[in-house]
Amino acid sequence: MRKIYHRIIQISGNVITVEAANVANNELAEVKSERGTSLAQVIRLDKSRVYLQVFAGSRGISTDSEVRFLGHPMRVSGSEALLGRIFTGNGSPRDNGPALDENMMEIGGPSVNPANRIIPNKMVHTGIPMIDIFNTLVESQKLPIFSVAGEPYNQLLARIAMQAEVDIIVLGGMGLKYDDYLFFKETLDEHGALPRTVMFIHTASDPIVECIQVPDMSLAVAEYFATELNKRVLVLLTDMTNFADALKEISITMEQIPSNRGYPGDLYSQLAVRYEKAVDFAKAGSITVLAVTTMPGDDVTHPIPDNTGYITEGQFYLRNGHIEPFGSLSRLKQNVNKDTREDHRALMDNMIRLYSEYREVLEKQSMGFRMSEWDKKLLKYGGQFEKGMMDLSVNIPLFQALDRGWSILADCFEPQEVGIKTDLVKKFWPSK
Amino acid sequence: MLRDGNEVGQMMKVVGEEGTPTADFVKYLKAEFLDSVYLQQNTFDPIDSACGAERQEYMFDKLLTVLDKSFDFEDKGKARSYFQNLRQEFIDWNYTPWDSIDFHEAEKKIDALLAQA
Repeated sequence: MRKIYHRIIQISGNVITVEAANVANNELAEVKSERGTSLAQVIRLDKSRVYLQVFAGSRGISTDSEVRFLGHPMRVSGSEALLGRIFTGNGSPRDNGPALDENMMEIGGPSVNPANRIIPNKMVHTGIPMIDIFNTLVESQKLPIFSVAGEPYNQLLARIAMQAEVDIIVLGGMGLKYDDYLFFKETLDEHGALPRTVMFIHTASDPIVECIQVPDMSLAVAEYFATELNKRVLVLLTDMTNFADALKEISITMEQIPSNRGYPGDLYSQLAVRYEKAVDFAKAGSITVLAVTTMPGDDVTHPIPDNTGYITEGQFYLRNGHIEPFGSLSRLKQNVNKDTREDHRALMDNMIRLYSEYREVLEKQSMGFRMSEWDKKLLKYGGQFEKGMMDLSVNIPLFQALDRGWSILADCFEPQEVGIKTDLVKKFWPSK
Repeated sequence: MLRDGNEVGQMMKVVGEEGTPTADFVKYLKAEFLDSVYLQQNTFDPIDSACGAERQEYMFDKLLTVLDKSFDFEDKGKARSYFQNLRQEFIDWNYTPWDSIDFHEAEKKIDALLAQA
Protein backbone atom coordinates (compact mmCIF):
# COMPACT_ATOMS: atom_id res chain seq x y z
CA MET A 1 0.00 0.00 0.00
CA ARG A 2 1.42 3.33 -1.02
CA LYS A 3 1.33 6.35 1.23
CA ILE A 4 -1.03 9.20 0.50
CA TYR A 5 0.37 12.64 1.23
CA HIS A 6 -2.07 15.39 1.96
CA ARG A 7 0.12 18.23 3.15
CA ILE A 8 1.17 20.33 0.22
CA ILE A 9 3.61 22.92 1.51
CA GLN A 10 3.88 25.11 -1.54
CA ILE A 11 1.99 25.77 -4.77
CA SER A 12 3.73 27.98 -7.30
CA GLY A 13 2.50 28.04 -10.85
CA ASN A 14 1.86 24.44 -11.81
CA VAL A 15 4.47 23.12 -9.43
CA ILE A 16 3.46 21.75 -6.05
CA THR A 17 5.81 20.73 -3.23
CA VAL A 18 5.33 17.97 -0.66
CA GLU A 19 7.59 16.42 1.95
CA ALA A 20 7.99 12.74 1.10
CA ALA A 21 10.49 9.92 1.40
CA ASN A 22 11.68 7.31 -1.13
CA VAL A 23 10.66 9.20 -4.21
CA ALA A 24 12.70 9.15 -7.40
CA ASN A 25 13.21 11.85 -9.99
CA ASN A 26 10.75 11.67 -12.92
CA GLU A 27 8.42 9.49 -10.86
CA LEU A 28 4.72 9.95 -11.48
CA ALA A 29 2.08 10.80 -8.90
CA GLU A 30 -1.66 11.26 -8.88
CA VAL A 31 -2.99 14.48 -7.44
CA LYS A 32 -6.59 14.40 -6.32
CA SER A 33 -8.38 17.70 -5.87
CA GLU A 34 -11.94 18.91 -6.01
CA ARG A 35 -11.62 19.33 -9.77
CA GLY A 36 -10.65 15.73 -10.33
CA THR A 37 -7.50 13.65 -10.56
CA SER A 38 -4.44 14.68 -12.54
CA LEU A 39 -1.07 13.15 -13.18
CA ALA A 40 2.00 14.93 -11.88
CA GLN A 41 5.68 14.28 -12.37
CA VAL A 42 8.61 14.76 -10.02
CA ILE A 43 10.84 17.38 -11.55
CA ARG A 44 13.11 18.24 -8.64
CA LEU A 45 14.23 16.72 -5.34
CA ASP A 46 15.66 18.78 -2.53
CA LYS A 47 16.35 16.62 0.54
CA SER A 48 12.89 15.48 1.61
CA ARG A 49 11.14 18.09 -0.50
CA VAL A 50 9.61 16.80 -3.68
CA TYR A 51 8.60 19.21 -6.46
CA LEU A 52 5.88 17.98 -8.77
CA GLN A 53 4.71 19.43 -12.06
CA VAL A 54 0.94 18.93 -12.21
CA PHE A 55 -0.10 18.06 -15.76
CA ALA A 56 -3.55 19.61 -15.64
CA GLY A 57 -2.30 22.71 -13.85
CA SER A 58 -2.62 23.65 -10.19
CA ARG A 59 -6.05 25.20 -10.45
CA GLY A 60 -8.37 23.69 -7.84
CA ILE A 61 -5.55 22.20 -5.80
CA SER A 62 -5.50 23.18 -2.17
CA THR A 63 -2.87 22.50 0.50
CA ASP A 64 -4.80 19.44 1.71
CA SER A 65 -5.25 17.81 -1.70
CA GLU A 66 -4.12 14.19 -1.91
CA VAL A 67 -0.86 13.19 -3.56
CA ARG A 68 -0.19 9.52 -4.22
CA PHE A 69 3.12 8.43 -5.79
CA LEU A 70 2.84 5.65 -8.34
CA GLY A 71 6.39 4.32 -7.90
CA HIS A 72 7.33 4.48 -11.59
CA PRO A 73 8.11 7.12 -14.22
CA MET A 74 5.98 7.71 -17.30
CA ARG A 75 5.30 4.47 -19.18
CA VAL A 76 3.88 3.46 -22.52
CA SER A 77 2.56 0.16 -23.77
CA GLY A 78 4.81 -1.79 -26.14
CA SER A 79 2.53 -3.80 -28.38
CA GLU A 80 1.35 -4.05 -31.95
CA ALA A 81 -2.01 -2.73 -30.79
CA LEU A 82 -0.40 0.73 -30.93
CA LEU A 83 -0.55 0.75 -34.72
CA GLY A 84 -3.22 2.99 -36.17
CA ARG A 85 -3.81 4.60 -32.78
CA ILE A 86 -3.57 8.21 -31.63
CA PHE A 87 -2.53 9.18 -28.10
CA THR A 88 -1.94 12.32 -26.11
CA GLY A 89 1.44 13.31 -24.68
CA ASN A 90 0.70 11.37 -21.48
CA GLY A 91 -0.17 8.21 -23.36
CA SER A 92 -3.94 8.23 -22.98
CA PRO A 93 -6.04 7.61 -26.10
CA ARG A 94 -7.09 10.60 -28.15
CA ASP A 95 -9.11 8.56 -30.63
CA ASN A 96 -11.79 7.13 -28.29
CA GLY A 97 -10.15 3.71 -28.52
CA PRO A 98 -9.33 1.59 -25.48
CA ALA A 99 -6.37 2.47 -23.23
CA LEU A 100 -3.46 0.04 -23.61
CA ASP A 101 -1.80 -1.49 -20.56
CA GLU A 102 -0.02 -4.48 -22.06
CA ASN A 103 3.81 -4.68 -21.65
CA MET A 104 4.27 -1.26 -20.07
CA MET A 105 7.73 0.20 -20.83
CA GLU A 106 9.42 3.15 -19.16
CA ILE A 107 10.06 6.06 -21.50
CA GLY A 108 13.16 8.22 -21.66
CA GLY A 109 15.66 5.41 -21.15
CA PRO A 110 19.31 5.62 -22.19
CA SER A 111 20.20 5.61 -25.89
CA VAL A 112 21.70 2.52 -27.50
CA ASN A 113 25.26 1.45 -26.68
CA PRO A 114 27.47 2.70 -29.53
CA ALA A 115 29.14 -0.73 -29.74
CA ASN A 116 25.83 -2.29 -30.78
CA ARG A 117 25.32 0.16 -33.63
CA ILE A 118 26.33 -0.36 -37.22
CA ILE A 119 27.53 2.26 -39.67
CA PRO A 120 24.48 3.60 -41.50
CA ASN A 121 24.39 2.05 -44.95
CA LYS A 122 20.80 1.81 -46.17
CA MET A 123 18.94 4.44 -48.10
CA VAL A 124 15.41 5.52 -47.19
CA HIS A 125 13.43 6.11 -50.39
CA THR A 126 10.99 8.98 -50.03
CA GLY A 127 9.89 9.61 -53.61
CA ILE A 128 10.91 13.26 -53.22
CA PRO A 129 13.73 13.99 -55.72
CA MET A 130 15.23 16.82 -53.65
CA ILE A 131 15.81 14.25 -50.90
CA ASP A 132 16.41 11.03 -52.85
CA ILE A 133 18.83 12.45 -55.42
CA PHE A 134 20.39 15.48 -53.83
CA ASN A 135 20.37 14.83 -50.09
CA THR A 136 19.62 11.18 -49.59
CA LEU A 137 18.04 10.20 -46.29
CA VAL A 138 19.83 7.25 -44.66
CA GLU A 139 18.39 4.75 -42.22
CA SER A 140 19.27 5.74 -38.62
CA GLN A 141 20.03 9.32 -39.63
CA LYS A 142 18.82 12.20 -37.48
CA LEU A 143 17.92 15.21 -39.60
CA PRO A 144 16.09 18.41 -38.77
CA ILE A 145 13.91 20.31 -41.22
CA PHE A 146 14.74 23.95 -40.56
CA SER A 147 11.77 26.04 -41.52
CA VAL A 148 9.77 29.12 -40.68
CA ALA A 149 6.22 29.49 -39.44
CA GLY A 150 3.90 29.51 -42.44
CA GLU A 151 5.96 27.12 -44.58
CA PRO A 152 4.30 23.80 -45.48
CA TYR A 153 6.49 21.71 -43.18
CA ASN A 154 3.60 19.64 -41.86
CA GLN A 155 2.51 18.93 -45.44
CA LEU A 156 6.06 17.81 -46.19
CA LEU A 157 6.11 15.53 -43.14
CA ALA A 158 2.75 14.06 -44.13
CA ARG A 159 4.09 13.35 -47.66
CA ILE A 160 7.13 11.65 -46.20
CA ALA A 161 4.90 9.62 -43.86
CA MET A 162 2.84 8.43 -46.83
CA GLN A 163 5.66 7.80 -49.27
CA ALA A 164 8.72 6.72 -47.27
CA GLU A 165 9.70 3.10 -47.73
CA VAL A 166 9.82 2.12 -44.05
CA ASP A 167 7.78 -0.31 -41.95
CA ILE A 168 6.46 1.93 -39.19
CA ILE A 169 5.87 5.65 -38.85
CA VAL A 170 5.77 7.25 -35.40
CA LEU A 171 4.48 10.78 -35.53
CA GLY A 172 5.09 13.05 -32.54
CA GLY A 173 3.22 16.34 -32.63
CA MET A 174 4.15 19.06 -30.16
CA GLY A 175 2.11 22.22 -29.71
CA LEU A 176 0.15 21.44 -32.86
CA LYS A 177 -2.78 23.55 -33.88
CA TYR A 178 -5.93 21.47 -33.82
CA ASP A 179 -6.23 21.99 -37.59
CA ASP A 180 -2.78 20.51 -38.11
CA TYR A 181 -3.66 17.52 -35.97
CA LEU A 182 -6.79 16.90 -38.05
CA PHE A 183 -4.78 17.41 -41.25
CA PHE A 184 -2.31 14.68 -40.27
CA LYS A 185 -5.05 12.33 -39.16
CA GLU A 186 -7.16 12.79 -42.27
CA THR A 187 -4.31 12.80 -44.78
CA LEU A 188 -2.75 9.62 -43.42
CA ASP A 189 -6.15 7.95 -43.21
CA GLU A 190 -7.07 8.94 -46.76
CA HIS A 191 -3.84 7.52 -48.17
CA GLY A 192 -4.05 4.32 -46.16
CA ALA A 193 -0.94 5.09 -44.11
CA LEU A 194 -2.72 5.09 -40.75
CA PRO A 195 -2.45 1.33 -40.12
CA ARG A 196 1.35 1.58 -40.04
CA THR A 197 1.36 4.77 -37.98
CA VAL A 198 1.37 5.54 -34.26
CA MET A 199 0.65 9.14 -33.29
CA PHE A 200 1.43 11.00 -30.09
CA ILE A 201 -0.19 14.37 -30.35
CA HIS A 202 0.12 17.32 -28.01
CA THR A 203 -1.94 20.26 -29.16
CA ALA A 204 -1.32 23.86 -28.19
CA SER A 205 -4.19 23.72 -25.67
CA ASP A 206 -2.85 20.66 -23.79
CA PRO A 207 -0.71 20.83 -20.63
CA ILE A 208 2.88 21.94 -21.23
CA VAL A 209 4.49 18.90 -19.53
CA GLU A 210 2.83 16.59 -22.00
CA CYS A 211 4.67 18.42 -24.76
CA ILE A 212 7.97 17.34 -23.26
CA GLN A 213 6.78 13.73 -23.05
CA VAL A 214 5.93 13.50 -26.76
CA PRO A 215 9.45 12.83 -28.14
CA ASP A 216 10.21 10.36 -25.32
CA MET A 217 6.92 8.54 -25.88
CA SER A 218 7.46 8.41 -29.64
CA LEU A 219 11.06 7.22 -29.35
CA ALA A 220 10.26 4.58 -26.73
CA VAL A 221 7.62 3.14 -29.05
CA ALA A 222 10.07 3.37 -31.98
CA GLU A 223 12.66 1.45 -29.93
CA TYR A 224 10.10 -1.23 -29.19
CA PHE A 225 9.29 -1.76 -32.86
CA ALA A 226 12.95 -1.61 -33.92
CA THR A 227 14.33 -3.99 -31.31
CA GLU A 228 11.47 -6.38 -30.57
CA LEU A 229 9.91 -6.64 -34.02
CA ASN A 230 12.93 -5.76 -36.22
CA LYS A 231 11.07 -2.98 -37.98
CA ARG A 232 12.52 -0.02 -39.82
CA VAL A 233 10.94 2.90 -37.99
CA LEU A 234 10.76 6.51 -39.10
CA VAL A 235 10.05 8.99 -36.30
CA LEU A 236 8.61 12.31 -37.44
CA LEU A 237 8.60 15.11 -34.88
CA THR A 238 6.95 18.50 -35.30
CA ASP A 239 7.76 21.03 -33.96
CA MET A 240 10.93 20.77 -31.82
CA THR A 241 10.81 24.52 -31.22
CA ASN A 242 7.62 24.04 -29.20
CA PHE A 243 9.40 21.29 -27.28
CA ALA A 244 12.28 23.62 -26.43
CA ASP A 245 9.86 26.38 -25.46
CA ALA A 246 8.09 23.97 -23.12
CA LEU A 247 11.46 23.13 -21.53
CA LYS A 248 12.07 26.84 -21.12
CA GLU A 249 8.73 27.40 -19.46
CA ILE A 250 9.30 24.63 -16.95
CA SER A 251 12.86 25.57 -16.17
CA ILE A 252 11.71 29.09 -15.41
CA THR A 253 9.00 27.91 -13.00
CA MET A 254 11.75 25.82 -11.41
CA GLU A 255 13.73 29.02 -10.96
CA GLN A 256 16.70 27.61 -12.82
CA ILE A 257 19.20 30.18 -13.99
CA PRO A 258 18.27 30.93 -17.60
CA SER A 259 20.91 30.56 -20.26
CA ASN A 260 21.00 31.90 -23.84
CA ARG A 261 17.75 33.79 -24.59
CA GLY A 262 16.02 32.30 -21.55
CA TYR A 263 16.42 28.66 -22.60
CA PRO A 264 17.71 26.23 -19.97
CA GLY A 265 21.47 25.70 -19.86
CA ASP A 266 21.04 22.02 -20.68
CA LEU A 267 19.09 22.65 -23.90
CA TYR A 268 21.82 20.96 -25.94
CA SER A 269 21.76 17.81 -23.77
CA GLN A 270 17.97 17.73 -23.72
CA LEU A 271 17.87 17.79 -27.52
CA ALA A 272 20.77 15.35 -27.89
CA VAL A 273 19.16 12.80 -25.56
CA ARG A 274 16.24 12.63 -27.99
CA TYR A 275 18.10 12.82 -31.30
CA GLU A 276 20.71 10.25 -30.27
CA LYS A 277 18.01 7.60 -30.12
CA ALA A 278 18.39 7.26 -33.87
CA VAL A 279 20.14 3.94 -34.48
CA ASP A 280 20.70 1.09 -36.90
CA PHE A 281 21.22 -2.46 -35.61
CA ALA A 282 22.94 -5.33 -37.38
CA LYS A 283 20.35 -7.89 -36.35
CA ALA A 284 17.29 -5.75 -35.71
CA GLY A 285 15.48 -2.79 -37.22
CA SER A 286 16.43 0.86 -37.23
CA ILE A 287 15.21 4.25 -36.03
CA THR A 288 15.44 7.29 -38.31
CA VAL A 289 14.49 10.71 -36.95
CA LEU A 290 13.19 13.65 -39.00
CA ALA A 291 12.28 16.64 -36.87
CA VAL A 292 10.87 20.01 -37.84
CA THR A 293 12.50 23.00 -36.17
CA THR A 294 10.84 26.30 -36.96
CA MET A 295 13.41 29.05 -36.63
CA PRO A 296 12.00 32.09 -34.84
CA GLY A 297 12.48 35.04 -37.18
CA ASP A 298 14.17 32.77 -39.76
CA ASP A 299 17.29 33.08 -37.61
CA VAL A 300 19.58 30.05 -37.83
CA THR A 301 21.72 31.39 -34.96
CA HIS A 302 18.76 31.16 -32.56
CA PRO A 303 19.68 28.74 -29.72
CA ILE A 304 17.27 26.00 -30.86
CA PRO A 305 18.45 25.56 -34.48
CA ASP A 306 22.00 26.35 -33.41
CA ASN A 307 22.16 23.58 -30.79
CA THR A 308 20.24 21.23 -33.07
CA GLY A 309 22.79 21.72 -35.83
CA TYR A 310 25.60 20.42 -33.61
CA ILE A 311 23.74 17.17 -32.95
CA THR A 312 22.17 16.19 -36.23
CA GLU A 313 23.76 14.82 -39.37
CA GLY A 314 22.92 17.71 -41.71
CA GLN A 315 19.69 19.62 -42.24
CA PHE A 316 16.98 20.34 -44.76
CA TYR A 317 15.97 23.95 -45.27
CA LEU A 318 12.33 24.33 -46.22
CA ARG A 319 11.89 27.78 -47.70
CA ASN A 320 9.46 29.34 -50.17
CA GLY A 321 7.60 26.06 -50.35
CA HIS A 322 10.48 23.85 -51.46
CA ILE A 323 13.54 22.12 -50.06
CA GLU A 324 16.41 24.51 -50.69
CA PRO A 325 19.12 22.97 -52.89
CA PHE A 326 21.74 25.17 -51.20
CA GLY A 327 22.37 24.79 -47.49
CA SER A 328 20.41 21.57 -47.26
CA LEU A 329 22.76 18.71 -46.55
CA SER A 330 22.58 15.06 -45.65
CA ARG A 331 25.96 14.23 -44.13
CA LEU A 332 25.40 10.52 -44.58
CA LYS A 333 24.45 10.58 -48.25
CA GLN A 334 27.89 9.45 -49.42
CA ASN A 335 27.40 6.23 -47.44
CA VAL A 336 24.61 5.21 -49.76
CA ASN A 337 24.64 7.12 -53.04
CA LYS A 338 27.59 5.13 -54.41
CA ASP A 339 25.48 1.99 -54.53
CA THR A 340 22.33 3.30 -56.17
CA ARG A 341 23.25 3.92 -59.80
CA GLU A 342 26.60 4.95 -61.29
CA ASP A 343 25.27 8.28 -62.54
CA HIS A 344 23.76 9.33 -59.20
CA ARG A 345 26.70 11.36 -57.86
CA ALA A 346 27.67 12.98 -61.15
CA LEU A 347 24.08 14.01 -61.79
CA MET A 348 23.69 15.32 -58.23
CA ASP A 349 26.84 17.47 -58.43
CA ASN A 350 26.33 18.89 -61.88
CA MET A 351 22.61 19.58 -61.71
CA ILE A 352 23.14 21.63 -58.56
CA ARG A 353 26.11 23.45 -60.11
CA LEU A 354 24.04 24.36 -63.17
CA TYR A 355 21.16 25.43 -60.94
CA SER A 356 23.45 27.81 -59.06
CA GLU A 357 24.59 29.24 -62.40
CA TYR A 358 20.91 29.71 -63.20
CA ARG A 359 20.47 31.68 -59.97
CA GLU A 360 23.34 33.96 -61.02
CA VAL A 361 21.73 34.49 -64.41
CA LEU A 362 18.48 35.45 -62.68
CA GLU A 363 20.38 38.15 -60.81
CA LYS A 364 21.87 39.36 -64.07
CA GLN A 365 18.46 39.36 -65.69
CA SER A 366 16.91 41.37 -62.86
CA MET A 367 19.55 44.03 -63.45
CA GLY A 368 18.46 44.31 -67.05
CA PHE A 369 21.45 42.81 -68.88
CA ARG A 370 21.02 41.21 -72.26
CA MET A 371 20.85 37.43 -72.05
CA SER A 372 23.45 35.50 -74.03
CA GLU A 373 22.66 32.18 -75.69
CA TRP A 374 24.16 30.37 -72.72
CA ASP A 375 22.11 32.46 -70.27
CA LYS A 376 18.95 31.54 -72.14
CA LYS A 377 19.82 27.85 -71.87
CA LEU A 378 20.33 28.24 -68.12
CA LEU A 379 17.03 30.07 -67.74
CA LYS A 380 15.23 27.24 -69.50
CA TYR A 381 17.04 24.71 -67.34
CA GLY A 382 16.26 26.54 -64.07
CA GLY A 383 12.56 26.60 -64.88
CA GLN A 384 12.47 22.89 -65.68
CA PHE A 385 14.54 22.00 -62.62
CA GLU A 386 12.17 23.86 -60.31
CA LYS A 387 9.11 22.30 -61.89
CA GLY A 388 10.40 18.77 -62.35
CA MET A 389 12.56 18.34 -59.25
CA MET A 390 12.01 20.97 -56.58
CA ASP A 391 8.23 21.11 -56.56
CA LEU A 392 7.05 19.31 -53.41
CA SER A 393 4.21 17.59 -55.24
CA VAL A 394 6.66 15.61 -57.38
CA ASN A 395 6.53 11.99 -56.25
CA ILE A 396 8.72 9.65 -58.32
CA PRO A 397 11.08 6.81 -57.42
CA LEU A 398 14.85 7.45 -57.48
CA PHE A 399 15.72 5.86 -60.84
CA GLN A 400 12.84 7.63 -62.56
CA ALA A 401 13.99 10.88 -60.96
CA LEU A 402 17.53 10.31 -62.27
CA ASP A 403 16.14 9.64 -65.74
CA ARG A 404 14.13 12.83 -65.49
CA GLY A 405 17.34 14.65 -64.55
CA TRP A 406 19.00 13.43 -67.75
CA SER A 407 16.03 14.38 -69.88
CA ILE A 408 15.98 17.89 -68.40
CA LEU A 409 19.71 18.22 -69.16
CA ALA A 410 19.27 16.87 -72.69
CA ASP A 411 16.37 19.21 -73.29
CA CYS A 412 18.40 22.29 -72.34
CA PHE A 413 22.05 21.57 -73.12
CA GLU A 414 24.54 19.85 -75.40
CA PRO A 415 26.37 16.91 -73.77
CA GLN A 416 29.75 18.71 -73.52
CA GLU A 417 28.13 21.67 -71.75
CA VAL A 418 27.12 19.88 -68.56
CA GLY A 419 30.56 18.77 -67.34
CA ILE A 420 29.74 15.10 -66.75
CA LYS A 421 32.32 12.58 -67.91
CA THR A 422 31.78 11.11 -71.36
CA ASP A 423 31.32 7.47 -70.23
CA LEU A 424 28.21 8.41 -68.29
CA VAL A 425 26.94 10.78 -70.96
CA LYS A 426 27.22 8.02 -73.59
CA LYS A 427 25.30 5.62 -71.40
CA PHE A 428 22.54 7.86 -70.06
CA TRP A 429 22.10 10.84 -72.41
CA PRO A 430 18.63 10.40 -73.94
CA SER A 431 18.75 10.19 -77.74
CA LYS A 432 16.50 12.70 -79.41
CA MET B 1 45.14 34.03 -62.73
CA LEU B 2 42.25 33.08 -60.43
CA ARG B 3 42.18 36.57 -58.95
CA ASP B 4 42.12 38.21 -62.36
CA GLY B 5 39.39 35.87 -63.57
CA ASN B 6 37.33 36.53 -60.48
CA GLU B 7 37.76 40.27 -60.96
CA VAL B 8 36.40 40.01 -64.48
CA GLY B 9 33.53 37.87 -63.17
CA GLN B 10 32.68 40.53 -60.59
CA MET B 11 32.97 43.23 -63.22
CA MET B 12 30.58 41.34 -65.51
CA LYS B 13 27.97 41.44 -62.75
CA VAL B 14 28.14 45.23 -62.97
CA VAL B 15 28.62 45.93 -66.67
CA GLY B 16 27.18 42.73 -68.11
CA GLU B 17 28.72 40.25 -70.50
CA GLU B 18 28.18 42.55 -73.48
CA GLY B 19 30.15 45.34 -71.81
CA THR B 20 33.22 43.16 -71.25
CA PRO B 21 36.04 43.01 -73.83
CA THR B 22 36.51 39.52 -75.31
CA ALA B 23 40.11 39.43 -74.06
CA ASP B 24 38.90 39.90 -70.46
CA PHE B 25 36.14 37.40 -71.00
CA VAL B 26 38.72 34.79 -72.07
CA LYS B 27 40.66 35.55 -68.87
CA TYR B 28 37.51 34.76 -66.94
CA LEU B 29 36.96 31.53 -68.88
CA LYS B 30 40.57 30.45 -68.28
CA ALA B 31 40.21 30.96 -64.53
CA GLU B 32 36.96 29.01 -64.44
CA PHE B 33 38.62 26.31 -66.51
CA LEU B 34 41.59 26.03 -64.12
CA ASP B 35 39.19 25.74 -61.22
CA SER B 36 36.95 23.08 -62.74
CA VAL B 37 39.53 20.74 -64.23
CA TYR B 38 42.52 21.11 -61.90
CA LEU B 39 41.53 22.48 -58.51
CA GLN B 40 38.37 20.43 -58.24
CA GLN B 41 38.98 16.74 -57.71
CA ASN B 42 36.42 14.00 -57.42
CA THR B 43 37.22 12.35 -54.07
CA PHE B 44 34.84 9.52 -54.85
CA ASP B 45 36.65 8.45 -58.01
CA PRO B 46 39.50 5.94 -57.47
CA ILE B 47 41.74 7.62 -60.08
CA ASP B 48 40.91 11.27 -59.61
CA SER B 49 40.97 11.14 -55.81
CA ALA B 50 44.67 10.24 -55.62
CA CYS B 51 46.84 11.74 -58.31
CA GLY B 52 50.58 10.97 -58.26
CA ALA B 53 53.18 13.77 -58.40
CA GLU B 54 54.47 12.68 -61.77
CA ARG B 55 51.00 12.75 -63.31
CA GLN B 56 50.18 16.02 -61.65
CA GLU B 57 53.27 17.69 -63.07
CA TYR B 58 52.58 16.30 -66.51
CA MET B 59 48.97 17.45 -66.52
CA PHE B 60 49.82 20.82 -65.03
CA ASP B 61 52.22 21.44 -67.91
CA LYS B 62 49.40 20.78 -70.34
CA LEU B 63 47.17 23.06 -68.34
CA LEU B 64 49.80 25.80 -68.49
CA THR B 65 49.91 25.63 -72.26
CA VAL B 66 46.17 26.34 -72.24
CA LEU B 67 46.48 29.16 -69.74
CA ASP B 68 49.46 30.76 -71.51
CA LYS B 69 48.01 30.39 -74.99
CA SER B 70 46.51 33.48 -76.57
CA PHE B 71 43.17 32.81 -78.18
CA ASP B 72 41.41 34.80 -80.85
CA PHE B 73 37.68 34.14 -80.82
CA GLU B 74 35.08 35.68 -83.10
CA ASP B 75 32.65 36.23 -80.26
CA LYS B 76 32.02 35.30 -76.65
CA GLY B 77 29.60 32.51 -77.48
CA LYS B 78 32.32 30.75 -79.52
CA ALA B 79 34.84 31.30 -76.72
CA ARG B 80 32.50 29.85 -74.12
CA SER B 81 31.66 26.76 -76.13
CA TYR B 82 35.35 26.21 -76.97
CA PHE B 83 36.24 26.19 -73.29
CA GLN B 84 33.28 23.95 -72.51
CA ASN B 85 34.60 21.43 -75.02
CA LEU B 86 38.09 21.75 -73.58
CA ARG B 87 36.76 21.25 -70.06
CA GLN B 88 34.94 18.12 -71.14
CA GLU B 89 38.14 16.65 -72.64
CA PHE B 90 40.16 17.48 -69.52
CA ILE B 91 37.51 15.98 -67.23
CA ASP B 92 37.61 12.74 -69.23
CA TRP B 93 41.41 12.89 -69.15
CA ASN B 94 41.34 13.18 -65.35
CA TYR B 95 39.49 9.89 -65.10
CA THR B 96 41.87 7.83 -67.28
CA PRO B 97 44.55 5.66 -65.60
CA TRP B 98 48.07 7.16 -65.71
CA ASP B 99 50.08 6.30 -68.82
CA SER B 100 47.35 4.01 -70.19
CA ILE B 101 46.18 3.85 -73.80
CA ASP B 102 43.09 5.85 -72.85
CA PHE B 103 45.30 8.45 -71.20
CA HIS B 104 47.25 9.06 -74.39
CA GLU B 105 44.14 8.98 -76.56
CA ALA B 106 42.52 11.64 -74.39
CA GLU B 107 45.69 13.72 -74.57
CA LYS B 108 45.66 13.49 -78.36
CA LYS B 109 42.10 14.82 -78.42
CA ILE B 110 43.13 17.76 -76.26
CA ASP B 111 46.11 18.50 -78.50
CA ALA B 112 43.87 18.41 -81.56
CA LEU B 113 41.44 20.81 -79.91
CA LEU B 114 44.28 23.13 -78.93
CA ALA B 115 45.62 23.07 -82.51
CA GLN B 116 42.25 24.29 -83.79
CA ALA B 117 42.36 27.58 -81.95
